[in-house]
Amino acid sequence: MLIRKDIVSLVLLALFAAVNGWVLIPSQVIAEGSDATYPRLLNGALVVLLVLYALEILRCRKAGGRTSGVWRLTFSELGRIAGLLTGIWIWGTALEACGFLLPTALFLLLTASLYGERSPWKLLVLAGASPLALYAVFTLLGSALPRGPLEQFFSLLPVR
Amino acid sequence: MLDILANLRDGALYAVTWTNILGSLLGYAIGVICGAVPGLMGVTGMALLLPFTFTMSPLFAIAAMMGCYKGGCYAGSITATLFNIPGTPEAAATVLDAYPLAQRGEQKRALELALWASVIGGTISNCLLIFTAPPLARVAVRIGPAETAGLVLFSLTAVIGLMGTSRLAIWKGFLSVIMGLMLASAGLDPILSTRRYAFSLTELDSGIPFVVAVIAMLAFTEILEQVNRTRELAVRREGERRRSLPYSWGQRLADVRLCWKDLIRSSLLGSFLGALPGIGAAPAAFVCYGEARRAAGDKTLFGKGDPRGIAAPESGNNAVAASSLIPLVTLGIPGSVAAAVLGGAFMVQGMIPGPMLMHDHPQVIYGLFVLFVLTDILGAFLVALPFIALVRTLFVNMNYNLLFPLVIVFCGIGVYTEEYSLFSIHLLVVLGTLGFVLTKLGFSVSALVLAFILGPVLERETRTALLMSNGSFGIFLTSPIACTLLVLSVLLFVWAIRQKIKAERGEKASLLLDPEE
Repeated sequence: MLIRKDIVSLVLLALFAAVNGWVLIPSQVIAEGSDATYPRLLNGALVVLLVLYALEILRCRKAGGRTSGVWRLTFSELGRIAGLLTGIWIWGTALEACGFLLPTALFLLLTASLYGERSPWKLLVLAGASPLALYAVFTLLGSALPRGPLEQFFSLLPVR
Repeated sequence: MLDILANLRDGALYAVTWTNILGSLLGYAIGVICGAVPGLMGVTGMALLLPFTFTMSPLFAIAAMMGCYKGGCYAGSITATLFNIPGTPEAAATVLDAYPLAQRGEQKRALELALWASVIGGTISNCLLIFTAPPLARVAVRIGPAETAGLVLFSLTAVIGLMGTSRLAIWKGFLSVIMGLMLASAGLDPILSTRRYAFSLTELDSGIPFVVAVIAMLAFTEILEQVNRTRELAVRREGERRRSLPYSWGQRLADVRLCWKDLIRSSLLGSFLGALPGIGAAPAAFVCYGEARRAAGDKTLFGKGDPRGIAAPESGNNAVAASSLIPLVTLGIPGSVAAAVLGGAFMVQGMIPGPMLMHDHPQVIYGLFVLFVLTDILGAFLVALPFIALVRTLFVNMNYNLLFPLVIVFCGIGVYTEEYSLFSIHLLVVLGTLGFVLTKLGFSVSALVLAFILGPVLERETRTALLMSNGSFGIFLTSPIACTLLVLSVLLFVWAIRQKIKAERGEKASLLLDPEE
C-alpha cells in the first residue's frame, strides 16, 4: 500500500480542522462555558497553514521539486502494528481485573513473538522473570502496581 | 561573582553525598544504554525514568535525570562509530567521520575521542550555566507576560526554522507546532477554569498528562517504528566484526594538539546555541561540524575519519545539554525537549522552574550544578569507559526482540504510576498511534512535543498580557523586548525559507551537473 504523505496529511488535517470548527468547538468548548477565542485562533491558524501547505505542494509538483514522498506500508506491517496496539490496549484493560503479573507475562510473551523471537526458552525467561523483577523494584520504591490474585498471594508471603 | 562562589560551596556541601553521586551515575548509565540502543534516546530514558522519581529526593531524582540526558548525548556516538547508525539524532554529524575512522580499525580512538570531547563540551557548558544563570535569573524576574509570550513564540519559530531540508518541511513543522498547541489546549481553561475538549471524561479535566504525552510521543512512537526494523538492525550488526587497533598515549596527545581549538570553539558555540530556546543538540552538532570544517587548513580528511570531525560535533552536542537549562532555570521556558522533561521532574518535586527557582531553592539548584560537573567527569571514567570496553560484544549479541517488548511495559507502567490510572495506558496507545502516524507522514514529533509543553505557557502569558492591556495587542509592540522577539521570529522564519530555497536550488544544480546522482 502506497500512501502519498503530502496528500494524506493535507486531507486528514483538513478533515480535522472542519470537524474541530463545526463540531468540537461548539460541543466541547462553547457548550462547557469556555472561551472559544483561543481554540478558534488555533483552528484558524491550522486552516491558513493548510492552504499555504497545499500551495507549496502544488509549487513543488509544478517545479518538479522534492515532495515528502510516499509511505510504503505492507499489510503484514500494518497487521503487526495493529496487533501490538490491540495487545497493549487489552493489557491495559486486563491489569485492572487480573493485576500486574499475569497480564504482563502474557503480554511480553505475545509481543516478543510479534517482534520475531522464536526461542521458547528466551520467551519463557522474559515472560517469567521480568514481570517479577519489575514488580519487586516498584514495590521496593513504594509505587503500587495493579493488584490481582497473584499479587495478593505474594503479599501473604512473609518476605517483603 | 562572590555570591555565586559562596552559593556553590553551600550547594556542594549540601548535594555532594554518595547517594546523590550514585543517583547521577545510575542515570548516566541508563542514558548511555538508551543512547547507544538505536531507537531509544537519552530523552526516552528520561521519560521512562520520570515516574520512578516521584518517590525520590529532589537532588537524587534530578541528578539521575540529568545524568541520563548527558549519558544519552554521548552514547549516540557509540553505534554511530561502530555500526554507522546514530544512536540519537545528536550523533548524526558524528557518523560522518567516526564511522570511517572505525572502518580503518581505529574504533577505540574514535570512541574515546567522542567521549573526551563530550566531557570537555559538557564541562565548559556546565561552567557557563553556573556563571550565567544567576545574573539572568535576576533580570528575568522583571520580565512580564508579553515578553515571555514573545520568547515562547521565538523558540517555536527557531525549532521550525531549523527543521528539514525543504520548504515543505518548514510548513510541516508549523503544522506540528499547531497540533502540539491544540493538544495542550485540552483540559481546563487557564483563566476561566472551565472544561475544553474533555469529552465528558473526568480523567481529561486536568488536560493530557505531561508524562503520558512525553512517553507516548517520544518513547512509544519510536517503539512502534521499530516493530518492522529489528531484523534490519540485526543484519547490520552482523557485518560489523573487524579488528581493532590500540590507541596509544602518544596518539592521544597528538589528537589533543590537533583538536583543542575545535573543542573549545565547539563547546562555546554549542553552549550558545543550547541557551537559545528551541534549537537543540542535533542542529548544534551540525553547526559545530561545519565550523570545524570551515576553520580547518586541510579539509581533505573530513568525511574520511578526521578526528576534528568527531571532536567538534560531540563537544557541541554535549555543550547543549547543560546550557539548554539556562532558559529553564531563569525563565521557566524549556530550551529543548530534554529540558522540558527535566522541568517536569522539577515540578514533580514541588519546584516551579522560573526566575524564582534559584531564589527559593538555592541549595538544591547550586547543588545540582555541582553534581552536573561531577556527572560529566565521573560518568566518563566510571561508566562510559568500561562500557566502551564491553560495547562491541554487548551490541553484537543484543536481542531487540526481547528489548522492545520490555520497553513497552516500561512505557505502560511509567504512565500508570503517574496518576495510578489505567486510563493513562489507553491514552498512551491513542497518543502513541497519533505520534507514529505523524512521524510516518513526515511531521516532526519533537516540535509537536515542544509546542505541547510550551502551549500552556504561551496561552496563559498571552491572555494575561491581553488582560493587562484591556485586550489591545499593542502591548506586544510597546514592550521593546517582546517587540524585538516578535521581529526576530519573523526574520528567522524568512531566513529559514531563504536557506531552504538556496539548498533546493543547489541540489537542482548538482543534479543537472551530475544526472546520475
